[in-house]
Amino acid sequence: MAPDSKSKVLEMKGITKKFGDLSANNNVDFELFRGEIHGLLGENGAGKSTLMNVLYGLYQPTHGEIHVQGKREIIKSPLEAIDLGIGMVHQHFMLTQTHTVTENVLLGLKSKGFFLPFDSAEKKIMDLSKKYGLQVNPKAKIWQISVGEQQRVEIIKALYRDVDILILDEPTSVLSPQEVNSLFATLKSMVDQGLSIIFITHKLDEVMQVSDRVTVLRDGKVVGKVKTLDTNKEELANMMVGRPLITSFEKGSVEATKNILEIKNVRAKNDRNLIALKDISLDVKGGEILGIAGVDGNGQSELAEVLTGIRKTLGGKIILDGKDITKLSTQAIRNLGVAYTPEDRMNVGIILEYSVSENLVLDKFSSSPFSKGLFMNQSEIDKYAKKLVSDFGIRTPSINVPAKQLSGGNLQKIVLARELSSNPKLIIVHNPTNGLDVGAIEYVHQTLIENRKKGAAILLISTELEEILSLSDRITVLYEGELMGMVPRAEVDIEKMGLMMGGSKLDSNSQESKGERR
Amino acid sequence: MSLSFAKPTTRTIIRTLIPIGTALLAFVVTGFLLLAGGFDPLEAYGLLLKGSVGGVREVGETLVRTTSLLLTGLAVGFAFRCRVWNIGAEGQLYFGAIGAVVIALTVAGQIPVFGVIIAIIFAMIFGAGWAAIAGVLKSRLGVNEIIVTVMLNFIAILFVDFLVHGALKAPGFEPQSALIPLTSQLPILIEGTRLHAGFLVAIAAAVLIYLILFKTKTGFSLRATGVNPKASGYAGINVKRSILLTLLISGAVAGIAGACLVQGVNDRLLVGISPGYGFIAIIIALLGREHPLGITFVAIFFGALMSGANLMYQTMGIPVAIAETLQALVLIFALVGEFFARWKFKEAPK
Amino acid sequence: MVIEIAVIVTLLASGLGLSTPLLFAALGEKIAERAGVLNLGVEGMMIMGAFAGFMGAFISGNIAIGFLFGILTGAVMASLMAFLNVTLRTNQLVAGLAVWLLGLGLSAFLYRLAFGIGTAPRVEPLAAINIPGFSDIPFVGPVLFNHDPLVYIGWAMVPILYIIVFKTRIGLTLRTVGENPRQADTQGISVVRVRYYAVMIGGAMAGVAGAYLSLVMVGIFVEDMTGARGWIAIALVIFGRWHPIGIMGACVLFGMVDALQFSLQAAGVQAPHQIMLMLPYIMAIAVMAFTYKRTTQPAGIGQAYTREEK
Repeated sequence: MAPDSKSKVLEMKGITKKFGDLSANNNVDFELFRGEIHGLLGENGAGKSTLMNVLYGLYQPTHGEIHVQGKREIIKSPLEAIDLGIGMVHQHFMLTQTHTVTENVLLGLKSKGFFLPFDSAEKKIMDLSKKYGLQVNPKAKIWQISVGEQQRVEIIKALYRDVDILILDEPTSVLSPQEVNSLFATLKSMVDQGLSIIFITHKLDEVMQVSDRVTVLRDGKVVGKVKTLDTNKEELANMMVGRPLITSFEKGSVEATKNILEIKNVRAKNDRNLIALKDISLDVKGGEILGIAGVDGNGQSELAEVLTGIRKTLGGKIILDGKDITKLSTQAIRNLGVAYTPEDRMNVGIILEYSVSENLVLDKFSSSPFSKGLFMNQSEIDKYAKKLVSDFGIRTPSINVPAKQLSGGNLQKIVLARELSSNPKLIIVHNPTNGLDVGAIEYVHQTLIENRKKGAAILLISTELEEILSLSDRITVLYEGELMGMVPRAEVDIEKMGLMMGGSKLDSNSQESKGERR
Repeated sequence: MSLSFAKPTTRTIIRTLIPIGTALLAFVVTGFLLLAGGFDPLEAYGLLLKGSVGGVREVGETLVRTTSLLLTGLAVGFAFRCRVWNIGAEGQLYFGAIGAVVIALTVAGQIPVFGVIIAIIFAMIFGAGWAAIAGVLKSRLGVNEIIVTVMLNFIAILFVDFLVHGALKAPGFEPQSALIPLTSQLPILIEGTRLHAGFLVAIAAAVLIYLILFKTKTGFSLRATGVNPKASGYAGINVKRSILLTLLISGAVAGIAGACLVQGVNDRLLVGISPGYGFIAIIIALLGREHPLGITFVAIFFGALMSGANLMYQTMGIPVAIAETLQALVLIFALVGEFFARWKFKEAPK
Repeated sequence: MVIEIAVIVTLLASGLGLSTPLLFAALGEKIAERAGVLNLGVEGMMIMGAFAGFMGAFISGNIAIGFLFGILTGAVMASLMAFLNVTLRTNQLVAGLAVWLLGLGLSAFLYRLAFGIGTAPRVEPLAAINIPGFSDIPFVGPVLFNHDPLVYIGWAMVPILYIIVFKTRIGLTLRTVGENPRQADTQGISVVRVRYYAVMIGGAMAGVAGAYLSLVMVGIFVEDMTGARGWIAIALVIFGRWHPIGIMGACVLFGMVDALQFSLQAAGVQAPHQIMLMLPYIMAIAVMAFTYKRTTQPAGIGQAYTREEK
């Protein structure tokens, strides 16, 4: 069913949302027609999630009005939003791991009845599942099911409550290419049944593929409203960023030297005591960037933790520049020249409550010149911190402000400054540009390229395929704790990547051998 | 009225006034409690003042209590600052007391001058050792230290009870140890008071704790581990060792408190040697914002409260537990005040 | 050594009796923790419950009124706890400690205020009831069927709570608020309200537990008579894996250990009574050490929840 431009199911007028002095949304107008898939596009921090959180009643707008089905409404809570037929699938799932699918769906439902109606609920869930092609097992516990299935549960949660409008916030960030296609097919079938969908993303490809219209946000303001058919990626990119996007840049070639890192048959468990790494073997040479692609949750964090001594291995060896580091402590491994930027920079890479300078010496404070004997040498620490701030262009009022005052991009710069300033031999980065704006992303990429030129071995673990493709010399995929082949960059394309991420082992001879499917 | 515009200096002034204001509020509420009990609050508070600072002897009494409160307050505050919730200072105090009395009655009694110091050192070792139980359980097994340290309190108190009725019992009817020899006793500082040299030890401890916490690399790692163990671990800090070390230091300081009670106040070990100093220390640590300077001030304040409460009881018959009640109320009102300040200044919660 | 049947019967029976205050406190604590609030002030609520229960019974001459006072006082202390924890978003540990110390001081102060020093007012403790027919069964009879009503109420609470927590909407709401408050919020549930109720119920039950000590076990009030039972209850919740049946098992076990000291003395075993008194505390530590690695505590525990976080 084509979008019905005569029927506006939703209109948001002049929405402004301020947090203190910051305007996350500035006089935004947004409208949604019946039966359309409307893309809400913008880079990280543009205000897309904020706008939808306002619609869903999680935030109250500082100014502006919302009209649903032509009537002015004030939405004070998600419950009221749901009553008005608005449902939301959040980027970070709102699911309780230890509860079953049915329990998660039933939570918060307004109805009479003291007891939980497990049987009738399961039946309704299965009906919805069949109707929209959303495979779920009502009796399964959330921690037991895959991420793709969890997302389907989120969608069913909304459908169960008879919503007309469904908001999806960055739904594809956790999906493999095949799962993305499957999701898009589901969305198309949903609008055929009369639903209207708002699709929040920062990915241009997806917007072009699945949406009918696009609204582009930048810095909290609307900078463009177009029909998808009337536009193209370049135009959208231009609106999103305010300048033409650099789609490729000169990496240059570098002579890869010897093996800096050799991983041999490493096995490890995750925090839930399940096997996370099954039998990992790989080499990384100095002067090369090895990209490990794959959707999060397949062992990426565990791999990085094993390499940096944070997690113990169950078996296998890790050799750094000829030295066996398998059983060494984190401090010892770092001292041998290993740097690591973790994925969760805010909670794990940085201590937010500590100052910029304290964070910059977090790994070095106990050695000279920062400490003499028992006591810390504050003047040396300050000197070093000031140097790093200027070398790395960290924007901060002073070295003594708490790190939490800085933006995401600058926090990442602190981590990079700290990790890279000692010219490490091996650099491990995990989702290094997650949540950063385009300027910061470029900066990080440039930094990695520079270090590659200096001869460092770089292990790039990332869920962003674009990033892997633009930076890596060789690429592999981590799927359910195993490496699905190794391919030089020149021989790779998105389709092959998708297959590997779905569990097929490929190598540079393109010989397929199916890995185990769940 | 939003105060988010307030300048930093204004904020600091308001921040310092708030605890004083909330403390006054606690006094007012307690005043009502006194009224309900049929006592005249003004008369009572007058006695409180007189009994705490009304004369040399009174000041001595205040400072004697301050000594114990300061040491335990430091022990708890140090641990809290490193986010290790040591609720076991009372037990570590008792165990330290055991260490002090055992050494004083045996070895140290023979050594002039240094005997005192040796006994204190042993108290530190015993206190640290007792705390280490919780330390090992937490660092190796991840066991919550709160419950373990609370349990250890009761075990230690019972153990002392057991010892002074048995192995350490001096001849006679009283359940107490023998008097420790003069050479192990802490000398009295001011004639006519009970104020002993332990007070100086406590002050020294406050300075030392300050230096350790804020000027040494050890303190930095211990604090960082407390604030964010994951990030600290990733940056190479040995988290397990840090947790254990925090408890060892904390227990050692609490052990000194035990030594002071044995060597300074009572000159022997007996049942109930501490009226709950280790528990009050928790309030002190929190009110003093886990900082040696703040803890010192609060310890003096609470010491005054406790010695004043004595006079209130002797003269007017007001139950001594009023001091505990007041102390808890001061804490609660301080928490409310803290929230109020954060809210008006629009700062994020801790 | 022949262990007389009578000794074993006494042990088991008194063990079950002693497990009752632990059971009430632990079940109440479990409810609070299921909502994500670590209520460390249980000890304070228990001691205030013991005091209020005693006062209520003493003044009115009626044990039931005493228990009512105990319940109300526990709930009031708990609402203070909830206020600190949920509204002020204080560190949950700090709030618990404050409530504990306040309870300790206030109960001692008010008791002395009411009775002065030297007197030891008593209340006739609640008697055991005889269930006709059942209490006469040899061995099992005296062990299981010769208790005061509160013991049976405690036992009944176990299946009742099990059903409520796992099979009803309220239970699902409670569990989600504890596991994933954000999710509960997005489904329109008031996290604040659920936590307040949960903590207050927990406090009321702690009040009952405390009143049990003063009104059933001894008939008097003594300063600090809870003897860390509130803290042990917290450990028991962990040991029982936050499950009503597991908690019951844990409480019975501890009740037995508590009763052991009396029975050993009765059996003529020579052991210093202080060491006997230590047993529950040592057990609690051992229990924590051995169950710790495999715990599945509510994920949202210990964290205050705010909605407007960017």
